[in-house]
Amino acid sequence: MNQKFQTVSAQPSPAMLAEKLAEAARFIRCHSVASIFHAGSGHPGGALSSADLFACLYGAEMNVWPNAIHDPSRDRFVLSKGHAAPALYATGAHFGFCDAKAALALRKLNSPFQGHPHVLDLPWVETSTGSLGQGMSVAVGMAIGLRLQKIPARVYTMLGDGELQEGEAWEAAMSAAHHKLDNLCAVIDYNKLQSDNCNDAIMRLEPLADKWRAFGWSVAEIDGHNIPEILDHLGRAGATREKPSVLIAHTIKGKGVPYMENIPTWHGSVKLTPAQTEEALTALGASADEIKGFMHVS
Amino acid sequence: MSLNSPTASLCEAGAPALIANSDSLREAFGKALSALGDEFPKLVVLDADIAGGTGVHHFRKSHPDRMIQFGIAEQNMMAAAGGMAAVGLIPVVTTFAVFCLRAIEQARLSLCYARRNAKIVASHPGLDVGPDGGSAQALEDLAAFRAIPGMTVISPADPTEMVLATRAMLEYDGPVYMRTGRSPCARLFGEDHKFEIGKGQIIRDGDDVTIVACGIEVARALAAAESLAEEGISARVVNMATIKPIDAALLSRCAVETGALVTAEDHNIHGGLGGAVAEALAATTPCPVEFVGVKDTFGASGEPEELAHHFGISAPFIADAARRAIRRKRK
Ligand SMILES: Cc1ncc(C[n+]2csc(CCOP(=O)(O)OP(=O)(O)O)c2C)c(N)n1
Ligand SMILES: [Mg+2]
Repeated sequence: MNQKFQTVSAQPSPAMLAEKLAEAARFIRCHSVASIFHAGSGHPGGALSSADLFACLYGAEMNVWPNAIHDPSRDRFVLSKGHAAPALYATGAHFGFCDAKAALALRKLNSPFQGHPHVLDLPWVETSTGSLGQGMSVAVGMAIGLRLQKIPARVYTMLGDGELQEGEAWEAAMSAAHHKLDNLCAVIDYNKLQSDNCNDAIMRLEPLADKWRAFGWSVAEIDGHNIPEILDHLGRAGATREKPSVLIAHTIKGKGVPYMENIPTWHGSVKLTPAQTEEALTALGASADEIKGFMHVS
Repeated sequence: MSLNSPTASLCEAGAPALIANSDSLREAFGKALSALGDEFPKLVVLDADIAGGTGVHHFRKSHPDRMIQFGIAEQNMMAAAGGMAAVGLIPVVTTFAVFCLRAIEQARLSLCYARRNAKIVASHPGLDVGPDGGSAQALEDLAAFRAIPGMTVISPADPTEMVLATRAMLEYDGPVYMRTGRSPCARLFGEDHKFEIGKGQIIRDGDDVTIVACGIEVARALAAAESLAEEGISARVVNMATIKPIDAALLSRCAVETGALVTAEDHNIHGGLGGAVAEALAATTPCPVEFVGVKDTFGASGEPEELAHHFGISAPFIADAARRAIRRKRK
C-alpha cells in the first residue's frame, strides 16, 4: 500500500478507500473522454476499460509519490498498452503528478501529453511506449535491475488483451518466470476487443489463464471493475514469492459510456463531437459545472 | 469468468464513423488492391489488426478469402509472408511503417535474403502520422529498408500514382517496400500519368535548381517551386517515387542542367531519399545538394501541417533550401 500517503493521513477504512478510488476512476474516465474530445482523435475504449485498474494502482497499491518521482525506491509502472495514454495522464492529474487542465492538451504540438506516453516529456512516466508488447519487456528489465541492486520496489505493467498476440509478450512472460521475478505484476485489461474486432475474430487468446500458468506465473482472474477485488488481488500478488503474478482483469471496453461499451470502433481513430462528449460525461456522472470545465478550456 | 462477451453482431451495431480520409494514399492503395484482386489470383493480403488503418478493409470486403489475419504480431506476419511466397502466392504485408521496422529482420532474411516475391506496404509513415506522436512516426523506414540488398523501395506522391504503383509492385517479381500515407493529400496527376519502378519524372521544368522529392513532399516541392518562380527563380521538380533503385541517370542530367539540387522527404535527413540522391551524384556528377527532412530527431504529436512547419519540411523550408543550393553553386 501507498506508504508515503499513509504517513500523511491515517489509513482509511476499506469502505472509505473504495469510495475514494471509485471517485478517482470516475475522474479518470471523464478526463480521458474530455482530452480525447479536445484532441480530435485518440483511443477512448481502452482508456475507459482500464480506469478502475489505474485508480487502484496509483491510488492505493503502488508506492509512488508526486514529490519524489526520482526516488529510486519508488514502484515502477509501465503502460505497455501505450494507446491508453489519456487514462494514464488523467490518473497523473488526479493524483498530483501533473496539472489536470494542462493534461487536456492531449496530442497537441508542444504539449508533453503526446498520443503515446514519452519519458522525456513527462518525468513521472517511467518509459516510452506505443509499440505493443515492448513495455512488458521493459518491465521485466526493470524488475531484474531493481532486484540486482537490492531495491525492494515493485514493477507493474498494464497490457491489452490484443497486445498479448505479440510474440514479445510471451518472450517477456517466459523470461519473467525463469528469473523468478516476484517483484513483477502484470495486469491484463481483458476487455475482449482490440482494434478491428473482438479478440476471437482476430486471433483467439483462450485459454488465457492456462497459458500464463503454463508459462510459470501466479494467475488470478478478477472483475476489473470491482475495486475491492482489484485491491485484494494486487495485495496477494505482492505477497507471492518466487513467481511473477498476472491479474487477468475482465473489463468492458468503453465502460461507463453506454454508446461506446463493447463497440470495437470506439477503440481509436474516432473524433468525438461536442454532443457525444456531453452525453459521455453525463453518463459518467459529471455535473453540469464539471462538464463545462472539461469541455471549455481557455 | 467473463463479464461480457461481445459478439460479432454486437460489434456491428452503434459503430461511429472512423476518421475517414478518402483522398489519402492508404485509401487509394486499399481500393487499388481490391480492384486488382481478380486480375492477380495469387495475391493475398496479410493484416495485423489494423485493416481499417491501412486501407485494406477494401480488399477484405471484395476478397475475404484472400485476407489473412495475423493478429497483433507483425514479426510472425512478415516471415509468414516469406512462406506464402515460397509456395507460389504473392503476399502483401500491411501494417504501419513503424511496425514494419519491428519486423525488419524478418523482412531481411525471409523476404530479401531468400529473394521472395513478397511485398510490404506501410501506411502511416513520417510526420504525416500526426497526433499519435513521436513513437508512431517512422522517420527511419526508407533508410532501413533501402539498406537491405535486393529490396525495392517506393513512395508514391498522390492517389493516382498510388494506384499505378500498386499494379507495378504486383507485376514486379521480387521484394518491395512501399509507403502509403495517413492524411488526405492533394491530387497532382491526371489520368495520363505513368509510373515505372526505378524511373523519376520531371513534373515541373526549371533550370536554376532541381528539387527532388518523394511521397507527400512532392506537393510541397511544387508549392515551393511556385513561390520561387515569383522571385524569378526557376526550379525544376522531380518526383522520385522510387528511392531504390534510384534513377541515377536522371539525377545526373539534372545536376548538369541545373547545377544544384534539393531533396525533400518526410523522413530523417539521414539515409533516405537525400542519402540515395547524394550517393548517386557523388559517384557521377557532384554538385551542391541541400537536404530537407527531419533533422535527426524524433517527431511529436500535432497535426501534420503544423508538424511539417515545426520540423522544417513544409514548402517555405524547401524554397529556402533551394536558395541556399543556388548560392553554393554560384560561389
Ligand atoms: C506493435 C504494434 N502493432 C500495432 C499497433 C496498433 N494498435 C494500437 S492499439 C491496437 C489494438 C490493441 O488492442 P488491445 O491490446 O486489446 O488494447 P485495448 O483493447 O485495451 O485498447 C493496435 C493494433 C501498435 N500500437 N503496436
Ligand atoms: Mg482489448
